[in-house]
Amino acid sequence: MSELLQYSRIKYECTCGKFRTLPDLVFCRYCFKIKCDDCSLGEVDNIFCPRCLEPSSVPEARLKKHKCASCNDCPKCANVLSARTENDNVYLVCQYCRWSSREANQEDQENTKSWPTKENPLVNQLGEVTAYMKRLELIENAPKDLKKGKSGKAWTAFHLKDKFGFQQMVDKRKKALAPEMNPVDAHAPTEAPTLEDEIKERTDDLRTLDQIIMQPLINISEPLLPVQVPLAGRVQVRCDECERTLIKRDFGVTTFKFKISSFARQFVPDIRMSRPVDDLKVGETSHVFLSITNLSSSAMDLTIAPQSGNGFIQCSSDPIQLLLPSSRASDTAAPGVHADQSDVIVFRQHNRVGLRLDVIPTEMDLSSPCLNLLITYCQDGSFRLSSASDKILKPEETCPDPILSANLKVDLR
Amino acid sequence: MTETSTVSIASSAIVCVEADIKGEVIIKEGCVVHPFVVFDATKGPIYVGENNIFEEYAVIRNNSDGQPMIIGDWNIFQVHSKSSAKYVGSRNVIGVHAVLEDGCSVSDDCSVGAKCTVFSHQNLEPSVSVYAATNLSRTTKTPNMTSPHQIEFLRKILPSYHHLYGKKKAVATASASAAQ
Repeated sequence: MSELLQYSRIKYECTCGKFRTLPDLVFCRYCFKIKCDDCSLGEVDNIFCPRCLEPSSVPEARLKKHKCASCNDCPKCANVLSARTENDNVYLVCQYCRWSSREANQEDQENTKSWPTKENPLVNQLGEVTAYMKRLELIENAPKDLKKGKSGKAWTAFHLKDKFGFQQMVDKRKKALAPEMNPVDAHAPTEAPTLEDEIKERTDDLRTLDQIIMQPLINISEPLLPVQVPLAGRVQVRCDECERTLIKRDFGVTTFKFKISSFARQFVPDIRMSRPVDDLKVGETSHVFLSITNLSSSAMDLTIAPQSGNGFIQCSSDPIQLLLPSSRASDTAAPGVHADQSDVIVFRQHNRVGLRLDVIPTEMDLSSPCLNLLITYCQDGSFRLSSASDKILKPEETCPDPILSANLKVDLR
Repeated sequence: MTETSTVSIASSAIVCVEADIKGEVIIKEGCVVHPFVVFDATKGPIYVGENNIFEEYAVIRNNSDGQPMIIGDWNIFQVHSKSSAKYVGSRNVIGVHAVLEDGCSVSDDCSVGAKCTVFSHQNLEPSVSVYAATNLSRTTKTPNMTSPHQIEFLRKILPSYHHLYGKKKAVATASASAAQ
């Protein structure tokens, strides 16, 4: 879709200096700044399976190792596996490449849930090592805890009686402070397999890199198993300065609605190329056709100034000032200069204006022709009013919005 | 081939009127041909067996010079598939936008995945599946499921919403039959 609408051709400069396409940008109404994915904060607000859309909480997801229990992918071609019933038992089949769980020598199961997966054979050893490291951590931290004065209390007969089981707690804590040290045996070195062994064990079907990455624990001599679908996280976006939420989806993973959405499209003029650029020739004037749309809820005062030099293509057009009505305004007669009174304005429809800019490419530009525009825009203040709905503004506070500017890169290829 | 078109459709076969059938084509009992399927038998006859499903925009074209093109039973030719194979066996699934090139042959229980190609020199062994963008092929243990429910349903539902191909022209199949 973005290719069709040619969004990728035009990049806006974010507040942090990076160039992004308009759909990638959000706008913080409170800081009055454009934010991109690098200068905003992302926060996972929901974890769900992208196949069956079943949501799971964070501890639940950790327990499931961030994989869905009921959805499986084909290990050969990564398409969805579907269940096929035979004699009240189920086996999994890929409808695309006809791989089935029977090919992996798997028994048919009673339901589609929790198909066996390859576990790490060293998982017990790994647990021992982790526990040992935790004990080490306790010993290292024990002097710090003592310094904090946690154990500085005086002993009384109250403790000796142990009416409330304090003694046990104290003992436990003491034990924790000085745990027993049983160093874990070092992992005994195993003999490295020789090339002959590997060739002997290898089956005829060679695996692609994708197949190996999907199941890294499975050796080449073992058959591939159904791949559990990894869970996906849904992100909510905050401004990094004021920490207000900019994008928040509605509750539930099946909806596509937003509770809070503050995309840059709703505020910044949407500039696109309305026609492909003809072949550029050195020293000859070519036309660049742009369409500018005001998608915001208030009228916009906009100035477009083509910039030249610094590796950008030379543009001979003068800066243009436009007054764009909002998309909601009912009057059809657009204010400002009419299309037939200007060389630059090609058409004018409601909240959309078509422009024609003249560019003169030089030898250097031809490899990567790029047009630089500086837009300066200002809205009549109603946007800010509507955004501050939680706070009723006094009349003297309803000033026009600050004037904003943005730098644009238009790829003419 | 003869210049007059000799289309022979069995009485229980459902062929929609929008299907484009040219040349000598024999369609046997129980087949379902959706609208906009093309049978082009101008260069050689096409003999279709029983209970095949041809989905929308499937193209069955005989590009050989006079050689008959034989299609077995219980095959499914899915949407936009193109087939000019000289022989297609039984219980095969030809996927969406899949291509069977001139002169190839497909035996039984094969599956050609979506957008895959069987090249003209290839002869698919039984139970071979062709998949992935690079047309990988391998032998599978999983048989294709014949779908009597689907074909039954289509036979029932298609006549209620479509005009059928030349009801009057339909000829009994006893006279001409495809060699299997």
